[in-house]
Amino acid sequence: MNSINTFTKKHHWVWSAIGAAIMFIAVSIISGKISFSSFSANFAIASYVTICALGQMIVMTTGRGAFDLSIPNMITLSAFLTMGLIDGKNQNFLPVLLLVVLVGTVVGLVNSFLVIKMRITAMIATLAVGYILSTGTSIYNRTFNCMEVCGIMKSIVATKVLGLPIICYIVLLIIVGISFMFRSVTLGRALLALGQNKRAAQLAGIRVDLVEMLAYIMSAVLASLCGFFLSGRVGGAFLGMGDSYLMDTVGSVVIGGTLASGGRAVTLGTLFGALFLCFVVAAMQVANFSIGVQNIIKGAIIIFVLALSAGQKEKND
Amino acid sequence: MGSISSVFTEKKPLLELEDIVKIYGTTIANNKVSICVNEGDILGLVGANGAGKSTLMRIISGVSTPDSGSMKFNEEIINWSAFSPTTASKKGIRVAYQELSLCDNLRVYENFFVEQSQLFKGTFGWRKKAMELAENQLNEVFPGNGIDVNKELCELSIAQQQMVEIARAFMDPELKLLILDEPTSSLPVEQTRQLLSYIEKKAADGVTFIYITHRLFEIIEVTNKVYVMKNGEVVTDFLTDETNEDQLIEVMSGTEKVDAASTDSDDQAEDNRDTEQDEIDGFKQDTNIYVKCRNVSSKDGLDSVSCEMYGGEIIGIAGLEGNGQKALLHAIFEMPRALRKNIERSGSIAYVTGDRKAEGNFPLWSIADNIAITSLMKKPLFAANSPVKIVEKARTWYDKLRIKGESPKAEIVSLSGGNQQKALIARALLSDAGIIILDDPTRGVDVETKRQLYSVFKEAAAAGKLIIWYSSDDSELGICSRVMVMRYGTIIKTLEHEEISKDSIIEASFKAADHKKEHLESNSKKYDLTLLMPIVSMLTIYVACGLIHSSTFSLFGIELLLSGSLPLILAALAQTYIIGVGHVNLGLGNFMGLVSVLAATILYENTTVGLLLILGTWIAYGLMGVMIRKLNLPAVIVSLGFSFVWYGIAMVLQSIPGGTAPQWLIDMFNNKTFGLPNVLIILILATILAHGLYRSKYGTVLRGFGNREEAMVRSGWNKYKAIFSIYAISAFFAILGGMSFTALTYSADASSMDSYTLLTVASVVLGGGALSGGRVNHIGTVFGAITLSFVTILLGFLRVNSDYTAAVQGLLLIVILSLRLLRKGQNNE
Amino acid sequence: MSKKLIALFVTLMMVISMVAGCAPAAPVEEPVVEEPVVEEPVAEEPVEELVAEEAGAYEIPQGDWVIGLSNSYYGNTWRKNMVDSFTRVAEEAKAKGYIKDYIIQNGDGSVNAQIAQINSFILEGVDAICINAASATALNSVIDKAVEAGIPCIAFDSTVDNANAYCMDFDNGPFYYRMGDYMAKQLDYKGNVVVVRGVSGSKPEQIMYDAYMQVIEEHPDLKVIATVLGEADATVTQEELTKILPSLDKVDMVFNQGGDTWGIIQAFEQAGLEVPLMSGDNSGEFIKWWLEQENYDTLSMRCAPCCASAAMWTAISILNGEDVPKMLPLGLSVITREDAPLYADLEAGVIAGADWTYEQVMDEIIIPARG
Repeated sequence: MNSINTFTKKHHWVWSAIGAAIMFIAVSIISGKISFSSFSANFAIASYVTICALGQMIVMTTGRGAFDLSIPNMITLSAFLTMGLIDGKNQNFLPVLLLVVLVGTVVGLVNSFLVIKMRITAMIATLAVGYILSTGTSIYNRTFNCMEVCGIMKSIVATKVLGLPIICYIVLLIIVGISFMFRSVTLGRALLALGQNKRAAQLAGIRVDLVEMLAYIMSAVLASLCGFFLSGRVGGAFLGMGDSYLMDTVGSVVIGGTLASGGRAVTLGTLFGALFLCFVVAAMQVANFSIGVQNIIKGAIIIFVLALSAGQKEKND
Repeated sequence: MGSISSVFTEKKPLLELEDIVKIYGTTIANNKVSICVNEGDILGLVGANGAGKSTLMRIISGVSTPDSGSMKFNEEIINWSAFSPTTASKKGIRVAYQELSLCDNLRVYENFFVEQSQLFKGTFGWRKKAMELAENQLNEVFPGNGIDVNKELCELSIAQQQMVEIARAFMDPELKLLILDEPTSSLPVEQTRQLLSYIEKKAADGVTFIYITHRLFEIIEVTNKVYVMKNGEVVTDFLTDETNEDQLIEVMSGTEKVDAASTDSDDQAEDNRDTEQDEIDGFKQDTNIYVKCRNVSSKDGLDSVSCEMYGGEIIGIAGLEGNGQKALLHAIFEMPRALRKNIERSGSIAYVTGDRKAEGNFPLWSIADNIAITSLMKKPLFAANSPVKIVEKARTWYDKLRIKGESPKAEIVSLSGGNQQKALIARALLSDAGIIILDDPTRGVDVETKRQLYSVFKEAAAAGKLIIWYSSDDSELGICSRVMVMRYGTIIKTLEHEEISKDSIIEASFKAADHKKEHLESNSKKYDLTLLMPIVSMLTIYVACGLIHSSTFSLFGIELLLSGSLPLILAALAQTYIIGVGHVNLGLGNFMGLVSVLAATILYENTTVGLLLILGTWIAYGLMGVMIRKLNLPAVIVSLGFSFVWYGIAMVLQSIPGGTAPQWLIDMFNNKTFGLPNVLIILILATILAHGLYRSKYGTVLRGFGNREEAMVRSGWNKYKAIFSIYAISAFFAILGGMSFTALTYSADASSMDSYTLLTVASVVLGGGALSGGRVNHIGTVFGAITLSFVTILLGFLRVNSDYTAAVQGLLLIVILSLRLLRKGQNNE
Repeated sequence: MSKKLIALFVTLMMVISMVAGCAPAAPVEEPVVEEPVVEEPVAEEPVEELVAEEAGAYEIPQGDWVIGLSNSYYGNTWRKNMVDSFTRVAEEAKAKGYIKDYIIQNGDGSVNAQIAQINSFILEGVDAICINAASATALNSVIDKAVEAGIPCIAFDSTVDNANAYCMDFDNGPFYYRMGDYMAKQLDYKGNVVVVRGVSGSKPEQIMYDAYMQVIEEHPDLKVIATVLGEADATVTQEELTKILPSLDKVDMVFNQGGDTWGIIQAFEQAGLEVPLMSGDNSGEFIKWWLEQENYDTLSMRCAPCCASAAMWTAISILNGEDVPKMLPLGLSVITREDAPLYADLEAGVIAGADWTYEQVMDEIIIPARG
């Protein structure tokens, strides 16, 4: 019993993995069939959520209640840019990918500048930047008219390797990278230290401002990438595309075990959190719950998971 | 002399402590302390750092419970399990704290009010009464103080704040015992004198005092009895008349003249058996590593410090706590831009704090991770490190320092205080820094560990490092090459190695020219400009609109504009309360959508049931707040979760927009009364109500909760009741807002109000509110909300693409917050 | 000190960009797509004619009118087509002196944005407001205020439940009943149906949905296995469908409302499933795809986005004192499989339809509505 306890303590993603598994079983029961294609489709959907949720996770890890509220609008803008600039031509794929990363970097820089130098609370700063991004998107939308997804994007989104579309593997790669960062890369360790205790981090010789800035940049770039690939999946871009992702990112991160107060990032858990939410939604849709009931359940789950983790924390303190 | 000696021999004992024992970890903070204080006594309590005074006071005031021993107060034996700060103050025990327990977002008289609210009955006129009371009270204790009781506390100087704290403590008419802990540390000479004479006056009236200070001449002047504490025990007590400063110092430091060797008691680590064994022949200086200070002065307490330290030395920093020692360490470590010219430093540097919990540990991490972090930071930011190697490197020091834990991979919180300290020192040593700063690292550490640490320090110095070591324990600095004793932010005496002894340090600490300001500084008048910006921005946009189309200025125009923005304004008022207590409600929009749907569906069908359901939402909202506080959950996420719940319920009730607003509701918002549009009247009334509630008696308490919950709890207020009240008031405005939406659109749409949420946050911030600290302004919020909603109109008039609305709102937010930073900067520098 | 400088600099930059941003922009972009110059099909559609200068018996007086268009949402191709159509005819009217100016305001789909738009029109004192509403009921109060101020309101496409406003409604009910019946008939009124709904909150959406549901109710072997909110947008529809397709049984037909066809096609193709029957939406992309299919028998119908042009002319006629009834029904354009090749050149992103002329509006909408 004790070894299970230590295992779960060390690997925080276990709970969300169990949760996701249970929900998958639930979906199968309700729909009356266990289909791998259903699993793979949901995994694909969860992948997109995971990409930007990882960004949110990184920002939340910096502690002191930081959130990135600009993620939804970053996703939308990026999707528009992707569709519009690639314009269905394969040779544009790589340049636009780089551009999208660049745009994310700039947005991240702006966010971090407002938070660190202008000392505006993260929530407000990213909120304001989000507003500005949404205007940018609306303006671009006026001249936008592309419905053609380029070939490379189509294959990333649709072609299946071992039953899972390539996008899933991309996301897994990103997860491995971020996990590695938190485990072994100096930046990752510095981030975790900053989130646990900013003062201690300063005294320990960490350049907290630089580290915080990089966190915001990573979040914006990940959101940008999410929009990039998302445009391929939905075959276009529409205003307000990223709005639902705000709750999904926060939910996935929290369910995955990352601390909202900062200092601990459970990278793999974020994926399972996203999967969990995906299966919950799928189950409710298959069970033909009305929209209203679906929302109530989604909200209740988030609150319930939070309340549980609060209980856990009290036990540990 | 000059104290009023008590003529009565038959004095009633007020406070009797018997054999109080309090142990923290391995340190015995109070070792069988017994005290007897009679009514009308002014008892002085003196002792060097760590003598146990603060611990004792915490026990007497109900903050801590002793491990054993008894207390009798006013002939009542105290039941420890039922003894808390609240019950203590009910019995008449009050403390004026060194760390102020005031709320700095409240005005002076409001701070008085929250402590003694029972004195103010009635809803109206209490303010004037409170101001009078505050002023009288301040003048009682500190005549001629000139403090404007109407000022916010944060506008006062530290000295003035301390005066408020002290005066407030005196105010309780039931006051029996007042504990004053370093009350005069920031007070100028004149005010100190006033306080001392006031104490004497009150003592003659029967109030009892315990007076703790390092200012021995104050002890001599005002007290009638003195207890001297040392090493957790009361070693002597004197009648003040029969002693003097020198004698007190002697007793505190111990009568033997010691060199770097031992003193008498066991539980204080006395380094130096070890020193005799590993004697180092003097200290080799390594001039490549050094710190040179030239006239370093700073705002946080340094006053022209000059010194030179070199590698190979162990420099001790000593003196009474709070005299600039930490500030010096921070200055050397951080090298702030202002001091770059005054401090020269060569060699890499590491900081070891003694306040492990607050600024040392990374509590979620293992011991190895904690040890390795600083050395890791020397690698480039994107370098990969092998976790295995990290543990390896950490392990070498783990073993070297003999850290007693399960393994280097165990959590750091599993270690005892002493071992945690070792881990922090290992962190510095592993990083191979040339300069190591030690900030009181042996606090709360056991004897054995301390001895080990001393040899570590010596070894490090022998290896050529510069050790700068601040210790509040005067007995352990014997191994230093030099000790700099600080007082009032400057080095008052430097002791060479041979001169170092506990005795000499204590002597030096106390004997310093009194460094006090003569008079109170008066504050320059600072006008409150918080409301300026939202008013200006609103007027600018409104006037701009009006210049383009003069119809804006008409009553018709105002009614039109307001009816479009009334729901947002009411929502923003609701959010203001929430932000005022440090939370954010991200589900506000959807909550209002739910109310709006209820109004257009059930309320329309059946008024009673409808109202009952709305009442239900009111209670649910309030309980959400309690839940957040009780379980200590992040308000942002919980409210986001609830956002879905509100929306879901609304959708279940009405899945597509529609419904019908009850006619009475429509009339309420759309008609005119006395020629004025109802929306305008409702807006004004709501604003007055919101503002007024927040400034009412209980509203003031709620504002205090937003600033410093512990202070309010200490004053006896219930925190859950407070949170529920805040959320309940917020819910009122939210419900009003939701109903207004239905009234103004004649129908309801569950999803139409979600977009309001973030705009409300922006409105509060625009209106001068801060997300923490309890500083929000309802009137400002209203202006902020109006500004934001006028932006669309203005852009429309200017034929600007309405796509730009969001960007303008975002930029507005950024501009105003940047301007605020600018102004704050001007005020602070 | 330098922190203050940074803040000051930032502030200046922000203020400058704010001012720059407020500089009046060109009111509307030039339409990107070409108007299809193609012969119109079936009965209820107006036949496209050369817009001759003095064609027909109507003389339009010169006017000083300013006409506003309050469009609740600009996010999909139908809306873009719609705004473009309005712009074209308004420009023409302006050039000919029938109106002085026109203003277009696009919202973000929210009710409060549209209320603010209409408020600003009222304060500006425009002469007529054409409205494509965000909600059938939420604008009632502000429309009443406009009418009180003497400004006629012409609601079209997504209309309102307000007796004071002119409503140009598409007669969606019978058309979509016919649509659902046509599809179901292909499969002997048996099978699994996925319902894709349109723009939440719009009245026509509700009517189309109800029409489809009537078909379902009449035939017990038709089963609705899922309902999706497509918002009349291809990408939204694709996203929503992709989420649930894997968990569904075989889908035999889709009851959709248009604007979503491309999304439905993509979703099924991506999932590797055969694309079931659906309602075509007269869009270039759907027609192209349709022409490539064998054995895909369905109808294509849509409220043409150029109804905005009809609204514009109607506004002018109202302002010029013509007798215009409050209810002005419009018909849908229907394209059958035989007609489809006529539209083969329609580009993706364009919806079949041509701008109305004043004459057509009078002859085919206003006069018939009088009685």
